[in-house]
Amino acid sequence: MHLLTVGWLTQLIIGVAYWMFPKYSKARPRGSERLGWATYALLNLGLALRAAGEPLMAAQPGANAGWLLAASAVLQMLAAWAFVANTWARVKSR
Amino acid sequence: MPRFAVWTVRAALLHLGVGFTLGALILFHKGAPLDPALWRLLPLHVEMLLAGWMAQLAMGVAFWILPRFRGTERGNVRLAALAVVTLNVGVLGVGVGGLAGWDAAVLLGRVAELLAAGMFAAHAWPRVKPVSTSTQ
Repeated sequence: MHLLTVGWLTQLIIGVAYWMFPKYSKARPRGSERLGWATYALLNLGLALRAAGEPLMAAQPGANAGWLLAASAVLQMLAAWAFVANTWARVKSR
Repeated sequence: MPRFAVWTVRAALLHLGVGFTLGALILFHKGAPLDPALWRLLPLHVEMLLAGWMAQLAMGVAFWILPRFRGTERGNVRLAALAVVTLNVGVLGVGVGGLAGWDAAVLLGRVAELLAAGMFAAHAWPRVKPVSTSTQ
């Protein structure tokens, strides 16, 4: 479910917004490129950890797989706020 | 980007951040138990991300980017604004109602979301037209 809603829908929105939203400035049209890449890395690493952690935890409920899910949660939350931070100033009137 | 679209897209961004944070709390608890009550955040998490983030972002971007009338006019702006306010009331109703177990609030929230969809569709309908007639 989350591979579809986060990995596809939300990530597509993030990519298109990064591409098409109003420019931040002439020098930095897309805001912080570093924050853009951080969003991409955090979101996909978070999703990958979840994709690995969920079946592992179902197979071995008492094992350390739970920490994969906890780490996944933190990474995806950071990705969302990184995108919000980088996009906020680009959402503006002319 | 017109001011109304700015407010709508920024509201959607806030729903994204808060919705992901709620989801992170639930997922963290699933992996490393914190408090079973965190599961009660699930309806609010779902509602904030599906309606508050995705639907509201679509409304804001559609208001900004759909063809305009007579060059700059975007049609019935009040109807679009009412749709966005109603959508947010609906998200809160369904999300908080689900969190608190208030079935009436969930029902009213769903009705508000339905009305919001209808109002925004009524706003956008005349703007969805071929580009060649966009200035008429």
